[in-house]
Amino acid sequence: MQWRDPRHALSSVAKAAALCWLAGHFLLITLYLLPPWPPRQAVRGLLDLTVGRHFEQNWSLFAPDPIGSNFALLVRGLDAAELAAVAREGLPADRWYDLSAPLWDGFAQNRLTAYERMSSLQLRGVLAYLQEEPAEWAWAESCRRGDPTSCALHAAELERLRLPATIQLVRFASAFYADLGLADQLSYVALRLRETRPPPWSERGAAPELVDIDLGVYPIERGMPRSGLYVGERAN
Amino acid sequence: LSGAARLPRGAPESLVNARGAGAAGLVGAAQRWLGDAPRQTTGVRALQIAIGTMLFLRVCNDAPFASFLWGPHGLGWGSTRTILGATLGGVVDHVYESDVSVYALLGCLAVGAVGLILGYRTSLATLAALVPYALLEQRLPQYVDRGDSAARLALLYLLFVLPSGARPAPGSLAVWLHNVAVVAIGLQAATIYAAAGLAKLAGSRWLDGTAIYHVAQVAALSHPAFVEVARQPLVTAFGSYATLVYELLFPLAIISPLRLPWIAVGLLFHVAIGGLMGLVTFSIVMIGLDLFFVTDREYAQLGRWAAGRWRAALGQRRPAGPGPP
Repeated sequence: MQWRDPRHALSSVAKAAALCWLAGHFLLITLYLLPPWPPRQAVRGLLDLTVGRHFEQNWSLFAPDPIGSNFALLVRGLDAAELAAVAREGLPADRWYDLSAPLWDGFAQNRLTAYERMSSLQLRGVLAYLQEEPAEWAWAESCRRGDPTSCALHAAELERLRLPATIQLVRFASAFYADLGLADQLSYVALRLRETRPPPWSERGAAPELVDIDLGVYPIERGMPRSGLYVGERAN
Repeated sequence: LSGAARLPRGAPESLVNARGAGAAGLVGAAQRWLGDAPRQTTGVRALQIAIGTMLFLRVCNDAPFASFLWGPHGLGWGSTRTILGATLGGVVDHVYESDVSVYALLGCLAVGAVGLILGYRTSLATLAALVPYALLEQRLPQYVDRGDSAARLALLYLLFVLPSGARPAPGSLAVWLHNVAVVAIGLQAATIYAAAGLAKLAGSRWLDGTAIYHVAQVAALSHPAFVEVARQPLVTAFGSYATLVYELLFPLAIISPLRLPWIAVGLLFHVAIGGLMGLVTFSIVMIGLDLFFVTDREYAQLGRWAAGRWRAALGQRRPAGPGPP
């Protein structure tokens, strides 16, 4: 019966370790989910290494406030001649495609599809593009006061921060033109965000407000596979 | 969490309601709760079925777009190096280099999902679902929603529960680990609700009772009927405050006598979210997490009640035969 004792001891150690893990794990998760405050900031490195890396979670569902606005991604392919005209006359007014509305319509017709997730993917790209890190506010403020160096720094930093979102949005646009079979005829894509702001609660019967924000002109990404999302669309 | 399928004599029925002599009594009750018998076995199966169903739906929905989303020239450019390190991550990243391997990941995910639904080799099925799921998430993190996060975390804890139908010895390490995983799933679910509720407290629209109106304005989510209904002051105020109260009180309600009513409301809440907002996969996972909190004894009682009703219905339908001669 001697062999039973070490086995029993090992089992007890494993049981105690499991309990310690449980307690430590949920303590870290609680700290990770709390707003920034001194105790949390003190162990931020540990939180990023543990929960942030292997148990990443964010439960701000429609919080702190629901977005409410509808953000649609509009794209306009440009060939070399049109790109040259953009420098002189600005972006063309015609042949803009709304890449979000077909996804919303598809999802309204059939809830058991990937359309909602696809439109959320676009939305996250757009919001990531528009989001400015708090660290950049000082440069922006200094730029507004007329300091050209601050403006240059602010612009360069914004470009760096927006790069991942820009790549994603350009890829969406490029896949759209691949679906239309036009990708080879185009060299650039212009991106535009159309925000439809619903009226506030007190004026809920009123018409929504439309705001267009141009996100820039970028080289089309060649070699993108067809998304398959817009195969029924027609070039106009 | 309380109850067990086969409680040994003298075992505490409920950890929360354990009455003992002070701290020593509570520790003893906790030890017996963790060691005597596997808890929430039916709730674990309900959660496995819910996650399996959700994953299978995801595979069916995403398969036509797999190359576009995760393929070598697709939208995603993420890497496993962030979680596995440069060396191992560099090797694992080869899986993203061809469309064939991306489809193989989806195939593996589908096999794992079916295993979870059917209860066939559930430990292996959990692993078969978790690995490709995590790899696809790393490739395109922006495609992940809250339902995916909840499912991934639940799958991690489910790795340690007993396989479906297992009969381990009372007091064994396997039983202990199963019950620790059960507590982890329960705490994670409570964390989801509490964190969601607390985050809403920072928003003015939840506090002034108009949040549901603003949620309904999101064209990507809301059903046209929901848009109209949410313009009614009573509807939007009740929906906003009820959501806030439900989420904030969930961790307390689930360890109180309100547990079963709270679960029932949670099921209705998530059916409504699935139907009106179309967040079907998220709702399926959350319904699984709600059903996880029903104890084995309550499932057994429900089963007996349903069987009794079924027999009674059959008896009423059976036509009266000819009488004795």
